[in-house]
Amino acid sequence: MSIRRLTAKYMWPLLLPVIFHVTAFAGSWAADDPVAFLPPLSCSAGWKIEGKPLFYSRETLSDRINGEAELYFPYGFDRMGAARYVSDKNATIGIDVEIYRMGSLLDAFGMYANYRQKDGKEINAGAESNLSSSQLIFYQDRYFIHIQLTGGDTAGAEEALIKCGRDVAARVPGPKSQPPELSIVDRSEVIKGTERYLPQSLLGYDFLNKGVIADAAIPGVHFQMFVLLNTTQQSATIVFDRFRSQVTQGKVDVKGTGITFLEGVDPLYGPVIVVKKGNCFAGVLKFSADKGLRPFLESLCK
Amino acid sequence: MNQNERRLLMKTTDRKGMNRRAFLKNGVAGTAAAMIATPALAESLMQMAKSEPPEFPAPVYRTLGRTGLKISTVSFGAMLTPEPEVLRVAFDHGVNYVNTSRKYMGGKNEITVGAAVKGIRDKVYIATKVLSESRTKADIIRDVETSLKTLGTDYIDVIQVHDLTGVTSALLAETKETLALLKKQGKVRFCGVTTHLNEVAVLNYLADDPDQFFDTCLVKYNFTSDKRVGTAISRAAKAGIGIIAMKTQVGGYDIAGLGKITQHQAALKWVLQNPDVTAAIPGMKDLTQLKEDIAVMGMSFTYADLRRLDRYAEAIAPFYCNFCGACEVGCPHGVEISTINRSLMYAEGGYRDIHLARTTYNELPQQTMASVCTGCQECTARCVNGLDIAAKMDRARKVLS
Repeated sequence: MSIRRLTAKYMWPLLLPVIFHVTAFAGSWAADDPVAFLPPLSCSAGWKIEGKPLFYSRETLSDRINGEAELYFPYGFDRMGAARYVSDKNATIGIDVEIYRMGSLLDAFGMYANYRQKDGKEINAGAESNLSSSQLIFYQDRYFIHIQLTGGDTAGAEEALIKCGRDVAARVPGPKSQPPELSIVDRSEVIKGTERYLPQSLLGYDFLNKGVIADAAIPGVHFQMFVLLNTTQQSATIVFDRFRSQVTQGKVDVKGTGITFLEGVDPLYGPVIVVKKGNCFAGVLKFSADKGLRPFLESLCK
Repeated sequence: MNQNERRLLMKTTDRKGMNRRAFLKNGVAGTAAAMIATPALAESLMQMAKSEPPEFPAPVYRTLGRTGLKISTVSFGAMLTPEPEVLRVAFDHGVNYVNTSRKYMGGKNEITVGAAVKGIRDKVYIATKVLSESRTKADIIRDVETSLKTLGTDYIDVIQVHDLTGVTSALLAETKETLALLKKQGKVRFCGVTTHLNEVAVLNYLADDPDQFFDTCLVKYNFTSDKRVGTAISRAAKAGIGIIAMKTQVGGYDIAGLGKITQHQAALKWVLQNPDVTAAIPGMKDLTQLKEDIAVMGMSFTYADLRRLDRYAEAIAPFYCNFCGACEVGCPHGVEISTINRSLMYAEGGYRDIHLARTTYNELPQQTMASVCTGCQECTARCVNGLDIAAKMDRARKVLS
């Protein structure tokens, strides 16, 4: 009889009870599991948990949020914990808390920015938060948190959302800081709250991946800017050439400082200016005038 | 080629619009392909015979059931589209039906759609959905009013009750009453439902509804769907329900080493070859996906497509587990085979994410991990899909431990 067979026959019956006792009392969830961050009993006073917390993986996320799940996958989603908390006063009104574990802090920001409402309020939860009529979202570390009031409005609902959000934020580990990659758009010209991170298909082009897009303004000119992240000199050149091949009336202007501008007409956005310098690739579009845009791009790629 | 495949090939090539040159090219290539034993070579020949399609082909329209709307067979699922400009290109090239939802991105997707239809509202039909949890009159009216505002329009062409799984008339009474009111007010034109689960029951409910209240059904349907879904679609379509297919491309299961296989187009064509389906609404993030998908309009589902889907299915079969768990009953050691297979899929399937694979695997109690499997072969006999479970557990031990 082989060693493997002997092991199977004699060792496992002895080892299994030991293994079982070690694992059975080790706690239900891993330390970084989103389910572990859900408030266990109540989320804000007067809102008690209903049933057990649920968890979802990539395979099962669509069971909860249907096709919307596909939005999460490019951002490295791997697990979500969810729980519903109902009002003591009216059990038909609930607060649904969902904690999504994304690929990274930048990914969590990306999801947050997708949902951020223009007129939402900051409530001091997580790295950045946004409260709108019946929804609170924020992100912290690699977690994106979505809290939704359902079943109708009720007096004190907004306060409950805020308190619940802060309860959750206190339980989520990790620093309350923005992704360091956003420092490139932390500039006076960029309009705060308009930054978005897209891991794929920036501007609707499959060759523009991992980039930030935002609204911006310089005196007299409003425009949209974008910049790719994590590019190398080689990949920036490839993207530049690809961009050049699709614009019409393209004019390339190589400066002595190692910076190359391309001005042309993009098939989707009309006039564009893009720049390549070293490993930097950035651009501006949707502008009414081009005055001051080249210096802006030059400083962006400094 | 078996009898079904031959019948399919005959059916799909016997379409109008094939000119003499194309007929000869396909005929020669098809004959040559049939004579050559190597499927890959045969497929290459078929590929060579294909002429280069135009970048944006002429759109093809079908009638959406009793609504009478003529909509493009490839329509737009807007959920994943971040920029309105991409939608606009589609509309400029004849795509005239767009599907969004109040829920997507907290309503921001409707804003994107609204921006895309600005100035061409009369050329595009908009379908949106009320929130899944909205079943009361107040909820539905609130959702529709908010959608009208965010879309920047004064009417919605198709309002859909989101995510029906099982239905009874009593459950939907208030919903129907409210939607009827909104129709009367001119805020919505037609009403539909969406279903991802228990599709057969929902479709049959719609077909049998004596009120004929709902006009459309957005249903998950693709080449892996159970035949019963196809039958229910046919029944509902005959009752006047406009059928729109979603999840048509199964998901992004990217198989390394498969070579140039565009299963997305083949999968779309498979859905649209069913005349009971009015349209599909693939999600399109960028121009490349848009061009790939709308190029399908007017194309036939061919033998090459069948081969493509076959190869796709074959490629994923060795490591594709349905996670049904049926084999676990037969495992004498209590190994959690389906979770281990899922972990292995994360590592070696389209995801290629070893971190996710190990995290998922390590969440298992140790007494149920692959290391407990002794390779006794009992599970293999019990896998309904014929997977070699013991080999997969052996692989899991190597990859995930």
